[in-house]
Amino acid sequence: MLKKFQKVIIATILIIVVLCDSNFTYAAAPEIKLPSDSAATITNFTVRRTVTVTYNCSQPIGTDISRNQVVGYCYTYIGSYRAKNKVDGKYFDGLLIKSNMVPSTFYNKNGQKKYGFSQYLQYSMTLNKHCTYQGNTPINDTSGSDEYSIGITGGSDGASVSGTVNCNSKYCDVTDLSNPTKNLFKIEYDYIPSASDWKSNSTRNKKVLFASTWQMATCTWTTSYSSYNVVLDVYAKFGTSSAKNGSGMTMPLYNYSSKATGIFINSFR
Amino acid sequence: MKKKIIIKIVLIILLVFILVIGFFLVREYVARNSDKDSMTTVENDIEILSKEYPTLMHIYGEELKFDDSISTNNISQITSDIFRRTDDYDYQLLIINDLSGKNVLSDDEWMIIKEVLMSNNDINFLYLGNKQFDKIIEVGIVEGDRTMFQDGDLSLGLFYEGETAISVYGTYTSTLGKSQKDVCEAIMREQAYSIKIGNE
Repeated sequence: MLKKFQKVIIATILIIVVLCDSNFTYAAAPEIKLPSDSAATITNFTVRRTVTVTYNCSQPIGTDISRNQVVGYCYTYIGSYRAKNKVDGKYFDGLLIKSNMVPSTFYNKNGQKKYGFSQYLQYSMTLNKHCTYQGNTPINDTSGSDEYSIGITGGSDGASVSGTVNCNSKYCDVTDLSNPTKNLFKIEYDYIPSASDWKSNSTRNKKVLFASTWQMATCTWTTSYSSYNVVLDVYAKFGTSSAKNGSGMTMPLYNYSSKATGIFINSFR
Repeated sequence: MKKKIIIKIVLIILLVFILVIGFFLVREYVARNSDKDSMTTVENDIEILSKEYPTLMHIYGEELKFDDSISTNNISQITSDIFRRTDDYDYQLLIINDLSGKNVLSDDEWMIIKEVLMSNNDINFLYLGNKQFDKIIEVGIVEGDRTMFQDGDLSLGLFYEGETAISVYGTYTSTLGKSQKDVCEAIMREQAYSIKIGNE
């Protein structure tokens, strides 16, 4: 009886300690779980580009924020893979991309505190002429799910990569405007589809925009070329607000956002 | 009967003890996080690098003026001795400030940097400038090739996120502010971000 109770006590203490030591201001990174017998050569996310977004509105609504003021960071990681087996005699290649959108908190010229919020994120890549877009990617159904698949299928020869991305839906409640075509990979995460979406009681405001959030995408294609480069554009935008409930937004509209781009050139060999 | 009563008393004392400890821990947590909430990003980064995860910045080249609470060590030569661990710091960051494009390290010094970085996941590296990009890649300090650079890039780094070494592009670029303050804030952000992600 006593032993059982002791176990309960120890477990309780451990839970309290763990809960109190966690830092909830940073969202956990999506975790990629790939099978050990993956049929692809995968380059993991060991290259990152920091896209720093400064206040650079061409037609600023608010003038109390200094130029060069950082309003947010988009930390983008890139990984690539090549299937071990060819598909219909062609290489089966792909990119894995994930970004951590981290809004900034700062003082304006008058010493008042301002809060950055994530507004928009876009990945785009024009596929090389020798590449043919494959599959149903990008798979980015992030609404209401804790986990979404990044599975990629490669046809009859069995070239495939599969796995899951664990992503707390709390941080992924965004609108997906994917537009993959034969030659263009384009995926947009529009945190604010229109100005009318901005309401003080909006769930999205409270849950997502002012916190660190993660987004992820994949793109796959086949090609007969063994060695070439691809260029991925990353475009991130942040707005600013006087309060974390979304009130006092300085630049909520598309044309008035602070934005920055980053380019990845990834080599396939 | 008497034994049962004693057990009950012990259980009650333990329960009260747990509740009291839990109360204080939760209160501490709330206080700590509400403090963080009231900080700006820069203030929070300074807190991380000076208190939460004390970090020593080794600066080679032109001096960089960080906030007073950040520990710095100006160096004129790269030797493995400067990275000797002490109890005072959890992390170290080696900054090669070459924004003027005049600093040239010897091959031996580049090799020392590589060896130190490859064997210590608590030491990060940041090169400021653009003259030595090719050298850094040639030595094998960071992953990538010339095509990875973007116009305006003025930095290249290797930052550990836990056990994983990440080659970092774009920490400081020509589109960012040019004052010492802007440069130092960009460096602090990169270091603080890597530490936080690595300790999640």
